[in-house]
Amino acid sequence: MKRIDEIGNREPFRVPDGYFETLSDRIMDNVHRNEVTAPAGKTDKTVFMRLRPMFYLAAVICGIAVISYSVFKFSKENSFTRESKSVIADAMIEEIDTYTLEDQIISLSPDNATGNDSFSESLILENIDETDITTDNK
Amino acid sequence: MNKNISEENILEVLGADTEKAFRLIVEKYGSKVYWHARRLVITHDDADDVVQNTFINVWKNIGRFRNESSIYTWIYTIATNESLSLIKKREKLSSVPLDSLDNIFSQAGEGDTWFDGDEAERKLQEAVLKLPEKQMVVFKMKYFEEMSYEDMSRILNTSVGALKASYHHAVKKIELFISGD
Repeated sequence: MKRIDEIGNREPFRVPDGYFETLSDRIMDNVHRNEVTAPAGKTDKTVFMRLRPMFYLAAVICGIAVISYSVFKFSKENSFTRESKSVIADAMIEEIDTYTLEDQIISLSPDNATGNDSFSESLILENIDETDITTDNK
Repeated sequence: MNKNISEENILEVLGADTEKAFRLIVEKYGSKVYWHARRLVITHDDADDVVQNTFINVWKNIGRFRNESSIYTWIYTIATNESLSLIKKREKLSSVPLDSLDNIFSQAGEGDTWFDGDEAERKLQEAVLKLPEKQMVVFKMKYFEEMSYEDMSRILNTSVGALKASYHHAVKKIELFISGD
C-alpha cells in the first residue's frame, strides 16, 4: 500500500500575484463597505437590552394590576351597598299588600298544608261527614 | 505589517482602540485564515469569500470577544465554520456531486487556474474529497497545516482521542484510495 508520506504535504495551490499584499486593505474596505458597525467592548449591549428582563417584569405587573383593578371596579359597581339594600327592602315591603301577605300566611299555616287535603279525601272514602267531626269536637 | 505581534499586545490595543486592534488581527491572521480556508474549499475565489466573511464576523463580534479562548482559536473556529457552510451551500447549488477536483473546478469560474499540483498531489486531493466531512477537516488540518491535536481540539470542540481516531481512519482510507490504481 502506498503511504501518504511519500507524497508530502506541499501546497498544490497558487494565489494571484499580489493577493496577500492587498488582503488586509480589502478586508478593511469590505468591512466598512458593508457598514458593519463594530460593537465596542463594554457598550455592545444597550441599556435597554440589559434592562429588558426588568421591562418585561414591570409590564407583567402592570398588566396584573390593571386586570385586578378592572375586576374589582366591575364587582363593586354590580354589588349593593348597605343603604341600597335597605331601600330595596323597604320598597319590597311597600309593594306587598295586606291581602297578599294574608294569603302567604295562610299558605304557610299547618291547617292549610297539603296533608289536610289527603285527610279530607280519606273521610270521603270512609263516608264520614266532615261536619260531624267538627260538631263532635264542639 | 504586524504578523509578529503577540495576542497579548492585540488584546491590550483592543481595550483602547477596537478598529486598530481589528487591523492588527487582520494583518496577523489574514493569510493564515486564507490558507486554512483554501485547503478546505479548494478554489481561490471561495477561499477569498471565506476570508472576507470570517473577518466580517470577527469585526461584528470583536466587542463580545472574551479571553476564554485565544484570538487564534476564535478566528480559526469561525473560518472553519464559514468554510464548511460554503461547501454545503456549493453542494446544494451544484447539479453534479462535488467529490472530485474536476467537478469542483468545472463549477468554479476560475477553473484549475490556481491549482498546480503534480499527479500524486492531485490524487491525494481526490482521495481527501471522498472522505466524510469530519475526517476531511481533521486530515487537512493535521496533514497540511501540521496543527497540534490540542489546537484542533479547541477549534473543532472535539476530544483529542476522537481527533486521533478520525485522522487514523482518514489516512487508512486515503492510502487505500491512492493505492487503488
